[in-house]
Amino acid sequence: MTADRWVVVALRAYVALFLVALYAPLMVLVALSFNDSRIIGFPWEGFTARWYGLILDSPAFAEAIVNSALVGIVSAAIGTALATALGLGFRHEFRLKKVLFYAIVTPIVLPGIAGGVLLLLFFSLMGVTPSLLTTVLVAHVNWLLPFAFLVLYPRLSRLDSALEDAARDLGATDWQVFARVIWPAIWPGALATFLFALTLSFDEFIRTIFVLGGERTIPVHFWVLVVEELTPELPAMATAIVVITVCLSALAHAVLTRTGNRS
Amino acid sequence: MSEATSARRAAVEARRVTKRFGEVLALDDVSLEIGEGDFFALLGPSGCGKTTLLRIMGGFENPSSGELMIGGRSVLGQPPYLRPTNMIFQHLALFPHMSVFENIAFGLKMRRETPGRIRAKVEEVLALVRLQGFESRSIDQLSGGQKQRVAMARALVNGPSVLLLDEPLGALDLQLRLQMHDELRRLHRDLGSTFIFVTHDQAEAITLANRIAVMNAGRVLQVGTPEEIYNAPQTRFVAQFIGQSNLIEGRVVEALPQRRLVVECAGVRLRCRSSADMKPGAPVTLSLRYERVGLANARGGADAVAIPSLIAERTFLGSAVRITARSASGLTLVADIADLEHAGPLSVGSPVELQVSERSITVLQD
Amino acid sequence: MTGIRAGGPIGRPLLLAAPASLWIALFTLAPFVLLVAVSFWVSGYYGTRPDFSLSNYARIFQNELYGLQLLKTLRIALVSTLLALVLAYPVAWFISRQALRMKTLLILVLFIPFWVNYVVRAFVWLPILGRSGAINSALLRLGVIDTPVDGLLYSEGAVIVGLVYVYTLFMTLPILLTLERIDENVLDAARDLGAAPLQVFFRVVLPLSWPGALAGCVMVFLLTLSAYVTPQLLGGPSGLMFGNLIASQFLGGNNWAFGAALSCVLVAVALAVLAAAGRWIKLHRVLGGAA
Repeated sequence: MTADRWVVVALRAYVALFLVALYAPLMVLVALSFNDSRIIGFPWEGFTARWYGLILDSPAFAEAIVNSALVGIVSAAIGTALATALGLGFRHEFRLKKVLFYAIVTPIVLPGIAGGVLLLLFFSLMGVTPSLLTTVLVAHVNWLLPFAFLVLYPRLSRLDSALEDAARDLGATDWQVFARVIWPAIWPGALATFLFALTLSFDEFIRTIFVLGGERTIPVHFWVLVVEELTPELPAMATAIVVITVCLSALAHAVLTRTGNRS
Repeated sequence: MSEATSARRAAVEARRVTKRFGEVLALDDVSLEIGEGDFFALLGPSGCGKTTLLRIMGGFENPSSGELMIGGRSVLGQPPYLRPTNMIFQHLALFPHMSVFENIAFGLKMRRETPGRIRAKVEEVLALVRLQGFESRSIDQLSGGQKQRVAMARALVNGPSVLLLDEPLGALDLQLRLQMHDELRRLHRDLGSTFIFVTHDQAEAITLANRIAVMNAGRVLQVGTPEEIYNAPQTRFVAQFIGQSNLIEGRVVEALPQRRLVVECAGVRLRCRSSADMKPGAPVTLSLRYERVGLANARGGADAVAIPSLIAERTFLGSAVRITARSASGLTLVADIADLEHAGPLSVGSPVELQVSERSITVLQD
Repeated sequence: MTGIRAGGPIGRPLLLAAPASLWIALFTLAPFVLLVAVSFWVSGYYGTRPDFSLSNYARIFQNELYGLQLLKTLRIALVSTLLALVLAYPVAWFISRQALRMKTLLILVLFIPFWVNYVVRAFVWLPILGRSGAINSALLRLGVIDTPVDGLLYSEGAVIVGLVYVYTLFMTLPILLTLERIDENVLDAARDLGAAPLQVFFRVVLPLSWPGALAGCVMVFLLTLSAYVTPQLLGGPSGLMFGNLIASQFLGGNNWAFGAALSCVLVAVALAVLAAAGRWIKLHRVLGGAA
């Protein structure tokens, strides 16, 4: 019986330690972003906010934010639309449904590198110049489409088709049924999916880096700076990115959980 | 409140058990004695605390205060795996990743029995529940009734002195449930251990148990044999929860020797016996089962009271006819008349003379 | 289509599925076929030209370097996966036993670090493991060492730490979901039948949570297998993985055909792992059961 209690205490301590270990590196990062030192690291040389000033003044950083937002919104919109149509189709039974499902899910299991490489080859062959709203956009839609589908489909399959039967009985065409019966029921779920897809796009790096043109997204911008030179404002930029992505994800999470059951 | 069981040793005894879940009082000062070899029912509606009490006996909850003894020894704080009890859970809780054999053998394995003895005992108990040959089946291949019997076997193979059953038959259809009743009775008879089971079904409690505790809102209201509970309910709740009763308000007019009373109810004087002394003028509530209200005939006897009434409603029940009749003075009674041969037409509006004997009325204590 | 319109969900399924299917066919499947094709082409300093040659694959299988690199990658992936399993399992178990409010809170607390971009989360280890990082400076302050330890960063170990840190949630979540589905009554039954807490865990909980643990392992293994960012940042020369090898053929080198072949090898390994695991759990059930 005492052994019983001991295990409970040890487990609790372990979980606490685990969570601390999870957050500690990020805390260190935030701390260092205020470090008045030329190197990224210790010792602590004093408090300063000038690195943030550097970041916020940097036109490249601002541009990266705009690029990420742009490609994010467009790719999330496209992805959500495709996923919605696909999800509605999946409510039926048809041949090759299983095959199609595996095809959709492929980008998730395909190594990220391979996903980037195959697009690079494809676009070179097609002679497409890499740019934000062409090649990068495609890469992002590729990545987020299966996730959008997996999030949206459970919500679509819960729709009661008796409502559609009733509408059709009263003379509505398929499109009218969609616009007046289905869409009003699913738009919160679609919104949640859109936001979730947006966060996926924002965070996407590995596929993006292969099909990149001249415009950088946030993760790419950060990466390039890290790889070129470990300048002291990097922790500040990293912290800024943390704040942006966490807020965006928190929003998506809130909308996801409030608009339907969690998957 | 507890019946005299001094002749037998108490298998399980709860003394002043109270259980709180946060703000909610699940059990309120419950004391109960369950004798060895009893087939004991904890009967009550949802939320009355019966399952909580059972779980406390099994060791899955600890009482907030009070004492619990099994076999004469206190088991407070003792975890389930050290108690001489075994439980059959409401939804059976069979191990999904194990076969029938492995499920049943689990308890024996925990006690480190040798493989030879395990095999022998499992075979024995499978024969007992009539599932021979099912050893290697996986759980999801079984029907509802078969799963039930595996759950019973799994508990019984350990030879517990007390078997706890948590609404074990709730999920079964009527046919299967009646079959299981027979199985349980047979097992109880053959094994001679103490069975304690929880149910909300009063018909089940009456047919299976030899003693019943009726519970409501965390309290034990009455303990007794099925006959006692049925024929002499002590409280309004018990009278209404088991069978169907007329509840009649009245006032004591005369207090006769041996606790016999004459009570006036809505202008009619009824004779009854009370279990406590009562004074004239005291208000009482009487309980009178529908089927104990008869039609006046010569066999009535001196203690029967005749009540001329007019039939207001009539319902055909199949085995009886249920009439609601009102006397001239305003006393309304519901009667289930089974003896239809000598009853007459019993149509609405026709007069009828009801007969109530002294022994058929119970004086409620609340 | 004339005649009586049947009831049920609206739309013609093939029509509805078409846009997404076309997208996938055009932008995932076709490029994939191209990838396999290019792996048989030949690259040189003149560029890449179509061919049907096994020279790339020959080079991969004959030159020890690539085999060793693949083995090292598999090793790192395996170690990271097992480490993640051991670290995440108790956390998942703890959370699954909490009451709903605490559980939701803990899951949220668990999620938030994973909402941070993974490039940042890998980067974060530089100022911790580096010469002037948190660990070294702490050890110096405490007087445990005189000069900063160099080996913490730019090593295989650093990569493993980074990978486990980045991908642990993918292990915790599936295990948690499976543990949730274990009926509390089954655990009570085990205790009722004489099992002490440790026995309940090993004989009932562990076997029943096995599918979730496997799903988590598969996911983490696949992710760590194809890692690029973490080894590039934290690995130094000794911690480079297969992903870095592939990337260097394209981003810097001009050996696209060879890079394609390497990619195909990586994909083949990933598919092999999936196939092996798929025999134990139904993959489409893990991913949500849409099929």
